[in-house]
Amino acid sequence: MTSNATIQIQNKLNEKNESVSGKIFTINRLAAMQSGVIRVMAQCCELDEIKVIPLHVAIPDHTLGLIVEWLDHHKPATDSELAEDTQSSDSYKRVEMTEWDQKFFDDKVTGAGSNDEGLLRIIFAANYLGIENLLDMGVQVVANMLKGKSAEEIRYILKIQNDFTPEEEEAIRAENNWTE
Amino acid sequence: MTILQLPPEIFHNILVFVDPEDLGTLPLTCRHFNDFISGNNALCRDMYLRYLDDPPTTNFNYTEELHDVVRLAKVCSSQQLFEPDNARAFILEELPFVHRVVTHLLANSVPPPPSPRDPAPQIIRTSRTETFNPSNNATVLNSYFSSNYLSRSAFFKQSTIFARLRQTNNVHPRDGFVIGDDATPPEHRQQSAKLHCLYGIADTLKDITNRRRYRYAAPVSSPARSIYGLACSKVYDLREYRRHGTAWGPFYGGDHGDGLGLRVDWEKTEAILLVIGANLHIKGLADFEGVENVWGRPFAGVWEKSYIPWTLGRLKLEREREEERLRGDVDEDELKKRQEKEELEKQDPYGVGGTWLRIVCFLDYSDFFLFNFPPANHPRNNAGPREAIDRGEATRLILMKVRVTEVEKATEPGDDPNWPVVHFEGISRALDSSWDENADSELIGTARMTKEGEVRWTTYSIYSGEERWKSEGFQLGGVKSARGVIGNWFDKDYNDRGPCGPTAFWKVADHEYSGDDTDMLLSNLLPLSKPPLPPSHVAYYYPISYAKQLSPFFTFKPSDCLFFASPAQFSLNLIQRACSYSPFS
Repeated sequence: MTSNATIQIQNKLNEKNESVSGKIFTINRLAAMQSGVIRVMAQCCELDEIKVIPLHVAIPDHTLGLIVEWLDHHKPATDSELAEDTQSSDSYKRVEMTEWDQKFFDDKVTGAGSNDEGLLRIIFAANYLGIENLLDMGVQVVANMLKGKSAEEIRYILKIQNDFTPEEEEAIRAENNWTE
Repeated sequence: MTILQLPPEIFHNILVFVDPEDLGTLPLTCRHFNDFISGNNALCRDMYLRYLDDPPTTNFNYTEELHDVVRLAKVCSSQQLFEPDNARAFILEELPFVHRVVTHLLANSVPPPPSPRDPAPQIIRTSRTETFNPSNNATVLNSYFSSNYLSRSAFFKQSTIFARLRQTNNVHPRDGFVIGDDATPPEHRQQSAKLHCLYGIADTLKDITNRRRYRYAAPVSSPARSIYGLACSKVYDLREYRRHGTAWGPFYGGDHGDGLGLRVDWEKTEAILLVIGANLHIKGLADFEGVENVWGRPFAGVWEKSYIPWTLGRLKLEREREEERLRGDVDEDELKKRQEKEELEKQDPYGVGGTWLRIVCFLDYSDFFLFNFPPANHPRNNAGPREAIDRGEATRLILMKVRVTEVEKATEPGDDPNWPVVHFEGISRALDSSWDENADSELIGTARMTKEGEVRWTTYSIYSGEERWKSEGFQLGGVKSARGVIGNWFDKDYNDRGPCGPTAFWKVADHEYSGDDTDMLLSNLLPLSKPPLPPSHVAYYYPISYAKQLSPFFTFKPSDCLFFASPAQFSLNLIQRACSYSPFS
């Protein structure tokens, strides 16, 4: 198979939700193979001669579009490079984010027209699709948002409620005074 | 969708990438965060391993260890170190904590494989002179001290000689409240000296020589008022040796009768390191790669088994033996001897056999005598510490080759009975004399484990069959540390008129070198391997400017012959000049 071969993936159709329309995305084969799920499904589909790979979890079209864009940009040149890139490792090593990746997350994922929810959707989808490098990048972007922030700031950023009673909060504060 | 809906493994991943100190604030945001983080040892483990060494023990509380590291960072950069009113109390309160965490992290250091992409089964040296790889733990520790002058002063300069420095000098105002004073309790002084020994003295000497405002401690400009002069006054003071229970080495407690035997006296060790380090600096030897590797770097291999064997020579040797065997050219006796020797080396847990570089410093004997036995009218308090020495010393760089001769069970009451006593023999060659066979002395000695857990080394130098000098020391960093042995030398009969002085040796290679090999070894250790302008095939030419650039201390006359038979010869010539140079003459 040449490196120009493409495959098609179809988003799950959800009739109650317009943003999940069953849209079909065409994507370079090697680029798509960075996803563990698509790797496995592509093999099955080849056997059954199915032309379009169906996804079983509904991902908003906008998010899936972004993921396809990310996959295209990170397309491995050859099969052996693909194998090297997708080698799983147990240790937590920081992934190098290029300027493009930074811009991708800043402008398209968390930036204008989207929000932190967009970032969480990317992480969720990357996790489902088994795209390790994208997942690692998303995770690091979230971690960077939390670094060095106070509890109030974190609640504001992540839009979560303070569900402690004042007594509980005091007790937890006392437990965690080791950084002072 | 909110972060609370993410699957736990992803939430875990996110938290692994925040900074350790954030684990203190994140639980305060909401119940979900608190439930997830508190008591989550797996999270702390993954976070710990992200930038620290995988500890060699299975029983390890990652949560506590991580908290300690975070706290250490905070203590080292604490605002209180800047406050004259609070700094002393703060330092004395935190010193035991800093001591505990630093020694603990070093004890849990593991040298990393050379490249993460290619985790070779056997660790090899990145260059021939690099006898250890920096561990992750040492690198993290280094980040708290090497760029932070104040944290170094606060925790590494609380020993007695720094208290004396403060007492006798107009110390820089900022240092005044940070370095030690007479009110520092003895155990704090020992802890601080130990930290200083582990970190190394190179930065202290740089603080001293590079900047005008640290002039008070400069070895060259005013030795009498410097930390170097005060360290000398401790190292050359015979009373320090003759005190009971020291074995004349950097020890104490041999006479305590508690059966624990000799313990390391870190204050003495610190003084020895400062004296030798200053001499290496003054004589221009400090920049030689084989020296700089262990004397010039922070936390230089000061953990167990940090020494990386040099196996290249061994492979060549094995190939030669294989060829011999194939030719059927094997001497049965020779083979048997060789096998016995290899068997002995296998039993030796201390890594004794091999080639070591050694340094010995000494005072001119008349200076030494006058210092220890001054004329009757000399104004001096005989009970207190001696005055700083400003006479200048001589330094010898020595190549030691040793091999194991016997491994026996622990013999002395102070020995750890679970470790053997290893006997060794060998030769030592002064690199700075004429490089002839007459300069050789023979050498015997032992390595043993004290009950305190330090490897104690004893050596005797033998001249024409007669023992003359003895040395006692211990291996800084523990078993097979690349940092090597620090100790004292003295008369083998413990002559109470001396002489005595500091010594140190560190391992550079594993097999014994002879003849041409030694030249090769030296050209690897010393800086000149590629001559810039070889005019012919028989001689290497070194321009004077090149030599001057290597050491501004040397004086070269234009008539100096700078043609040498080999790069090693040139290096030797440099050493010879360096060692005969005295800044005080």
